[in-house]
Amino acid sequence: MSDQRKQPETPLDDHPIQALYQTTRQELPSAELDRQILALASREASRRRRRWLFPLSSAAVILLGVTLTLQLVEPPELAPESEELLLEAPDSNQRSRTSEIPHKSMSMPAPSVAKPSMEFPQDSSAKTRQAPAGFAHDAEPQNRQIQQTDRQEVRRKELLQLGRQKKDTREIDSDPQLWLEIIGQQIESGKVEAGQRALTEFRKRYPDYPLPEHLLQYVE
Amino acid sequence: MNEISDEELYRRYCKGDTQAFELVYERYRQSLYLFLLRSCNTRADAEELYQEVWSRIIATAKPFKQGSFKAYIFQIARNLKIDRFRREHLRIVADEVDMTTVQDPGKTPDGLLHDLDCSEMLKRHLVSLPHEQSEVFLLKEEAGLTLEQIATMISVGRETVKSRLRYALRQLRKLMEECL
Repeated sequence: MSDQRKQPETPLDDHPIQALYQTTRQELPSAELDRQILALASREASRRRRRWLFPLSSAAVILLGVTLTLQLVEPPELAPESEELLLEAPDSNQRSRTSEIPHKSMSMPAPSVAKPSMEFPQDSSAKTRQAPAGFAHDAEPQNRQIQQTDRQEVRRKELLQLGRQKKDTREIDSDPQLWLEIIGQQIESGKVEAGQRALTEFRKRYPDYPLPEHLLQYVE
Repeated sequence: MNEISDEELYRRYCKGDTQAFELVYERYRQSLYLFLLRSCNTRADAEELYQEVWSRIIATAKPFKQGSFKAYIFQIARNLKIDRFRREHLRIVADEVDMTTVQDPGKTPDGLLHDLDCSEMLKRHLVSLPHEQSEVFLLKEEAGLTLEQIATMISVGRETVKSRLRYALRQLRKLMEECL
């Protein structure tokens, strides 16, 4: 306060009057008045602190509840796009790849082609081990080319495999009943369109396998 | 804690820090009280207004983004004072003389008596000034506001504030000639 009075920006400063005025500045509010005001401030402050208490504790409880729930429930369902990839038929999968390299895949027998296409590539050596001997020789350069040109798809399938963590796709491939169960679950969960596509692919793969009644209506 | 600005202390109080309020209260305790005392009819009126100003500040307790805390509390004080005068049609008259409050151990009895007389004279002359002039004088001397802050507070131009202050000082100088 005194600093501002000394500022040269006020040419109206009259020092004798100001000095004299300072001698009049003696009075103070009574101690009782001070006590009342400080007590009021203290009451208001504690009321204000309490006002935060309830929302804060509620937020903490909700956060704790959500965290526990997330830990207890099963892993979240896969996205529809991923689900489709999982259930995609081996033939169609292979077709999409062979469109890029038709002259090699055309010579392969259907069952041999189907198996490696359902499997999610982990590394090129693993693929070679699982493929038939004759296939391995040609498949290795194919795989390299696929990995180069189709990295995103491979990555998605890897993620899908990690996310699923239930069954290996080879198991699905060789077990029509399991495949149907998964299709059924998919339809039940509301992904009817994806389920129908998967069912169509299933029918192509296993044309003679009897379908359960509840899935018959979804056959296209 | 002494280096912390008024605004920061008030912000802390708004979050529930009572100690911050005590500090800010201590800073403005006397100046606010004297501003009201010099502007009001009686000590009782000044004390009532003083309590009302702090109650308002406590109840509001909302940190402001611009402006100073000092200007804020004196603005509240001025508004409440004007409201009261309007309500009660009061006229600004001299405060009661409190002979016991002025003390300076370094002065001789004659000097003390002289100062006392001059101080009391100044207080009386101050309230005899036109309200606009005494208000500007008190806002500058007691609140320590700048001319710009005063101009903003009372909604007039800076030159008007300067002019009012000049008249107030000229008048006081003339009236207090024997003490200067």
